Amino acid sequence: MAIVNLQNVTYTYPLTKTPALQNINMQVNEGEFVAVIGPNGAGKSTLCYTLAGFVPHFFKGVITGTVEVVGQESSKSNLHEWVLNVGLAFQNPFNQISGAKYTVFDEIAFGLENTGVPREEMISRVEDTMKLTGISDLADRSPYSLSGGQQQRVALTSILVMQPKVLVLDEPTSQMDPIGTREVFGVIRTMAEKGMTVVLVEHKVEWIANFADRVIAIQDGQILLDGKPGDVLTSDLLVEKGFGISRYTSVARRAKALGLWKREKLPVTLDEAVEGFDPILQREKGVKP
Amino acid sequence: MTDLTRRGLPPQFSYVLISTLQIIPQMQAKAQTILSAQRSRGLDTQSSFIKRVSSLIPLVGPLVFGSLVEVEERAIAIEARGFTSTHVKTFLHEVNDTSADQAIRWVLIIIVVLTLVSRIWLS
Repeated sequence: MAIVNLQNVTYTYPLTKTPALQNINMQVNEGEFVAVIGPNGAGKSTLCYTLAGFVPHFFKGVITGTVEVVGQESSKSNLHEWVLNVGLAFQNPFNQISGAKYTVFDEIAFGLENTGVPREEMISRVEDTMKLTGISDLADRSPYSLSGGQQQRVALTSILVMQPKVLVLDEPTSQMDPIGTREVFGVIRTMAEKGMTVVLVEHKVEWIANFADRVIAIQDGQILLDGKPGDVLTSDLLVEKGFGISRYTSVARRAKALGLWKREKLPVTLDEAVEGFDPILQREKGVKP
Repeated sequence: MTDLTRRGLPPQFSYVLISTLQIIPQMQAKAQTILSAQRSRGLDTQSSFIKRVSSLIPLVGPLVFGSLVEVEERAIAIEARGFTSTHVKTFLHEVNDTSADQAIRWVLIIIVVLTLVSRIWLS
């Protein structure tokens, strides 16, 4: 069942003429992990704000069409109720630190204090979520003394602890190293398997291919492609429109042009590329995969 | 602060007080970054007094406008964590109101009253 349902959504920010989102139709099922890709200025962040209720409740502007999450309609709801269903973490970790708390533990508890979670439950939820995201050792540090990657984990934990039904993440790993990225993607995958619905904006296509159930490509505020990662991320349309594609796809595209790539489908991940190139490499003497 | 909020001080008020204290060092660090960035592009910050004062002007713009832009994101971030929720708030830290606390409070009240009385009657 679709837990997120956008019908013909068009949105224009105040004081601008061109709509940031145009005629968006999008359904996401419960427990699905959907990744959103697109160039800068495509409307990815606006889409996140729309799902999280900040468009139109915070940014004003003109919105048409309907945004439905968990059966409720955004325009008929209040932002402070909406955020209980839809959690939002965005890119800049520094601005997501509340500034009202002196330790990471208190920082993560902030949302639970605001929404009236009893103290005993609050403590156990904060401890469990910190363990899940691997930041238990930061509990007593000041949130401002952390690195960008650590702050991003704190920001993600602060939202996860509120247990939203839909989790909207706008480039949550932009300041992380590859190990941190893999761990965070693992956490997001786990949450999706537990039934949380995830909409993730991300540029790291190889990670998306490994973890997401579905990919939506957007450009100029419109949905360009919507489908399985293996189909969307290898589409010729992405290259034509100037999207970033996986390096494994790029290599295989060139190999295909030279007649070296024999499979019909292009690879997105390292494993798929190795599998496809293996027969070619076996033929060449002395070259091992 | 926690206790004042519990006793009915609007959370917005205590947020402004606490966050200001936390943000001052961040602003200082940011000012330093902007200054270094401008120095590396040839801004003179070490010669005569007048030149040094005039070199502060390009610092103020980015600092003030940058902070205003950040306010929007921070507002979104705390709103996303239910800051304006209508639920009755709970608190992570319990503040125990011990009998000693209460005694001190009464002593302070008596001192204030006595001071007022002495100012009015004995002067």
